[in-house]
Amino acid sequence: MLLHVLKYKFICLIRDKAIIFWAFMFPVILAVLFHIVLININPQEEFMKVEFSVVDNDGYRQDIRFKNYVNSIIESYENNSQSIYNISIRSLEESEQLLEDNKIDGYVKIEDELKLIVKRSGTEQSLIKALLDEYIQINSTMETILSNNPSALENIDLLTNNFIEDVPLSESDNTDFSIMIYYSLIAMSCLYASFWGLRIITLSQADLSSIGARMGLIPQKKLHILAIDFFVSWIIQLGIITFQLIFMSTVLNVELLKPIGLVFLTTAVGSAMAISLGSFIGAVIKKDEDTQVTIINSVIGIGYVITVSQINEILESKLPFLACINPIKLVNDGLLSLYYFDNYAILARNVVLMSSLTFFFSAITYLTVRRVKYASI
Amino acid sequence: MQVFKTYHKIIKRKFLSIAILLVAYLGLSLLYSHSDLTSDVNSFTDIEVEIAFLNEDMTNENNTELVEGMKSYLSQHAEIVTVVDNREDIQNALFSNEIQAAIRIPYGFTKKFFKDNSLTIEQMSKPDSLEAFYVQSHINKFLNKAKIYASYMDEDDQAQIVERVKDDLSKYINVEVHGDSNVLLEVTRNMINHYNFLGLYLLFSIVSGVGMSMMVFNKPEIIKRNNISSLSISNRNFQLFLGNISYVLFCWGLGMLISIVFFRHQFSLPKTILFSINALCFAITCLSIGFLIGKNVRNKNTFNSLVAIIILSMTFIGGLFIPLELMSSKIIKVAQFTPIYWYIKANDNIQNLDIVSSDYLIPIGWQILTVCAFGIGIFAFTFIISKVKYSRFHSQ
Repeated sequence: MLLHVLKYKFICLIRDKAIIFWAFMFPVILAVLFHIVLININPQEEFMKVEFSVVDNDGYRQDIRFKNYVNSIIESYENNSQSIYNISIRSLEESEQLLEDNKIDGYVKIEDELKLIVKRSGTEQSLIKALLDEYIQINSTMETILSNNPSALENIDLLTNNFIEDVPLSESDNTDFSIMIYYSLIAMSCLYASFWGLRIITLSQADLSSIGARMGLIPQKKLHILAIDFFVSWIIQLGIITFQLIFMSTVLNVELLKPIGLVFLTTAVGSAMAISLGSFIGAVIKKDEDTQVTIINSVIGIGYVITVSQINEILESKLPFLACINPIKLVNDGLLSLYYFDNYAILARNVVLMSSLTFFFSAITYLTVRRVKYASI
Repeated sequence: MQVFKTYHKIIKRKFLSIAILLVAYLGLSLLYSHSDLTSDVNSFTDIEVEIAFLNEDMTNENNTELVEGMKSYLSQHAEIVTVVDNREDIQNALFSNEIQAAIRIPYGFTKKFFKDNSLTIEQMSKPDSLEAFYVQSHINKFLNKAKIYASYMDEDDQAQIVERVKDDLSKYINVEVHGDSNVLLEVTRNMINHYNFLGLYLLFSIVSGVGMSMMVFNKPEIIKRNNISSLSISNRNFQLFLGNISYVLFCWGLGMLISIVFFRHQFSLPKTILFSINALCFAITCLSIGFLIGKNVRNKNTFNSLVAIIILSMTFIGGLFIPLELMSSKIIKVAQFTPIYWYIKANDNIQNLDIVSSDYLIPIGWQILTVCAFGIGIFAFTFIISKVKYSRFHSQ
């Protein structure tokens, strides 16, 4: 009897084209789209340019040191494509007009002291300030040295050593940060298993479908029926995730499969959590199917956007509990920790959390649907 | 106004689904912009960085003067967080963003620093981290200056060197922010992010709501029943149009009201009017998309799938999740065929608007008109398809 139910449940679920699309095709379409955009991304250095002018007044002409400093930066900009500072020497009126017209980010003038004039705060203005702060600080250093050791003037070398050595995060030294996008897609794909969970409830409740009515008559406990449905859905979802992982690794050439066992463990537990979440929503929210589907889509959509954007950091600082139970984040962080680190503490913590959520949702679902009576009308 | 009332009955029946979408995406856009509601746009502020400072270079269980001086200088630019000194805890702290960088001073660093620079400071951080680069530049600045003083002043006293370095590094350029009395109020980046995210909210809520309603009216049995009624087609279509417009105005109005309330500290009438007009034109374009899908799709599951694919593709390529500056010219050419690209561009230009003059307003006007043009184009396309279907039906 059980095997019979298992077989026909599998056939029923696999024929549902809508869920197959959401769980199978939709993440693949998104992965291809992201891949097309990500491989064409410009490096940041190509778009960040800072334009400012230096006022050609008496103060500037008399300050030889500053003049040399400005000339060295102009030379650096002309000879080096990676330099971001584009400086021009102009009169005060021209500089004011250019600033007014937003053609430059600021201008510098020397009267009694060096001054930077800007219209607003921003990244470009901060970069100009950092450059000029560096000049003032170097000046101060040189003045202090020359006042104590005038002979140093001939030999002084303004050092630009790098005292820092970057230590890799783990022995594997994986550094491709765009991998986060693909892992978040896998996490989203795991969560689409919620539709299987919703379908389980629809097919097992007598008031929701004719199949549910027939299932109510068979000599099997509700717990067994739900367990079989859960197991069949889980197996189908694992097959879908396996295909997606292989597709992304081979066709899109993204390193996703190491270590393979733990990746599958994470996605398996994530899928189980999603199926239990879907069945929980189906059992507890006694509204029409449209509403239930909208709730699931909203949970997945919001969870995904929170995971990949800065909202995640805001939530972690203001509402850490919510950040902790975001199902997509749990799967995503588990996978990311495997990629970047060589310890499994984060993965273990997330697997425990996901298992707890699975147990919680499944328990509530079972308690809600067991021993339901229908009026005989 | 039977059709109009029926339209609103359908919306009411589906109200729970629509309300969930409204709350979810509006809440998301507010959350996205919540962190910086009252930032002071006229002052310079450094970025906030948390670091772990792990020192193994001790003398009699105390930090050396050089290390202590460096730590004190770094604490002015970053928050030093206590982390347990083992690899696992440091990795966990980096992963959960408790810290952005972990700095480790090896044993003997100070001694080697004044001799031959043979020891380096270790830094662990996430790849391509701007915060880690920021910390690195401050450490190098401090140590380079200390090295200069040690080399050219014949200075042995570490405390004296550290004092001179700190004195140099405390000097800054004087910055003046020159405002104009006519200049419109600056808006923060987070307010712009909110208005850009509003586009996602308008897309989901309007396309889903309008599409679901139009799918009901396009059921074959409903069409046949309406065709034999006494209500003329033009009257029916006009009432449907009113129904759709009222729903669009409701979604748009709700979005704008919440924006104005939450960003009341940065309220600038000219900019808010421009943002509202831009959002309204975009909302009407969303109506055209929902209308197109609802008129031509019968299956609810196909409808949901199409809506998700179209909206997420448009928002991803159009520059909502990844800034347009980062995309290659090829992707931007494709993005220009999406209405959300022009909506986001208009928002960026409104943000940079300083004075209300034709020079600044004309480009914004063209971008808003382009958004409208998309809407008109999609409506025209929908009517052409309807006409073709109608002629085919009658020729059979």
